[in-house]
Amino acid sequence: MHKRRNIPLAVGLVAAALVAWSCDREPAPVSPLATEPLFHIFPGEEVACFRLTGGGRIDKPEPPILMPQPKNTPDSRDFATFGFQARPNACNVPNGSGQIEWVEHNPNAILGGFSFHGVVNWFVEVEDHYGDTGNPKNGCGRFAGNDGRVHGRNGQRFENVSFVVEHACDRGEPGVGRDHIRICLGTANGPECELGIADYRRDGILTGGNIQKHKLSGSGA
Amino acid sequence: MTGMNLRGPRTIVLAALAAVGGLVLPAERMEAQTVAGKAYGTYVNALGVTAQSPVATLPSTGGMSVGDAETFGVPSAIDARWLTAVTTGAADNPVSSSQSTSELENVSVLDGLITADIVTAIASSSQNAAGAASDAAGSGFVNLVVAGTAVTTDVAPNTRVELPGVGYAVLNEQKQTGDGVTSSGITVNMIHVVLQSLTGGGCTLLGCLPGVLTTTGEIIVGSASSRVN
Repeated sequence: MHKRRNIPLAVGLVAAALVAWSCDREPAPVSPLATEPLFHIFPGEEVACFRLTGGGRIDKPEPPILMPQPKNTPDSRDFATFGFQARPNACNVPNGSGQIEWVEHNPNAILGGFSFHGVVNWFVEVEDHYGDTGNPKNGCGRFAGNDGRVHGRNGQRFENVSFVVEHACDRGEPGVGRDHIRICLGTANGPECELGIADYRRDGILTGGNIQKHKLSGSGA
Repeated sequence: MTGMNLRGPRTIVLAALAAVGGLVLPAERMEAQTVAGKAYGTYVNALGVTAQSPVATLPSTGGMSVGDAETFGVPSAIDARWLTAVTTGAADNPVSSSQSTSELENVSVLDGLITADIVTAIASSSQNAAGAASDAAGSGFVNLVVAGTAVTTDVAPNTRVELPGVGYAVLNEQKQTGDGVTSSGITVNMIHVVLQSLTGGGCTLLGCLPGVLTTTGEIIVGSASSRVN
């Protein structure tokens, strides 16, 4: 069992902290009744009344037009796998809970590939950039936190890592070829992730597994 | 789904018939739904040793569970690094789902008889108004080598490979369960080695009798299962 140490992120990684925004858009502050930490809701984001669970695999990046993507060949380590559960703490509040495990296998990625575990503090609803399916049982969530830990394949470990799943989208079953996900490490800011301002970013349409939208009132996650 | 409308006389008649004659009116499904999920990196029952890497087990009502280890090994049986097992899911009405993944890197089975850079098992099950289904999409190997022969293509489900003097292995072993309507499940074992030895047999003046193959143990690498019902 390795000892945990507080180590700032290596070159290229941003230390997890409250991010000071100076963008032109003025984010709407959350209700004063919200508990710490305080997150801002950006345009395009809404408070949510559903939860998500998911697990699976992505290979190639999300294409401009939604279409199923193949797995990489059996000699390729360029893929990532994940599992998560995430939810708002109550209907229509942005504070959230849950966890995510993310494994990056590409040896050319940061840290030579890594395993990441994150704790969710914030959950909102976002639009699907591929367009609405028209089925109310489908939808996308965005969730983030500042309490993540990374274990690199090069042996390095980091704690207090910020992350955001910029979108996790349920577009129907089976999830392969339909559902899609994007994650960034080094920021808990969705728009920054969307713009590529992050130390690690990966997205893809699922080549395995499923992302599922559930009612918030159900059991489990 | 329609509920009962108690405002009209026709509906009152129908309600009476239902009460007296047991007529079943359409109603929303209210059966309790459950999910199951399990994932682990390796299980060994061989060479006098029984051992298993950390197991992720999903509660029947859903949630998330993780089992991981940086290294795991049983001498002469299995050696692997970066084992990560995750299972998530939720029981809901009308949609329930369960997803499990198991991954290992730098895998060596039986002192290098089977090796792989990465082994990935994925089991996904979901149930909605249209029915229930499961699949193992995304499961696979990176740089798999069996008895010195590199496997350069995706391995088809339930591919059996003979291992002379050892037994046999089933690669990408998949077992489906459920009726596909109200239940569905799948178990994926990416490498399932069955160890065998020849016992008995021999020759006498009266003739020779063949020996019997006896299973003496098993090794499982990369296991993920999920179920909804």
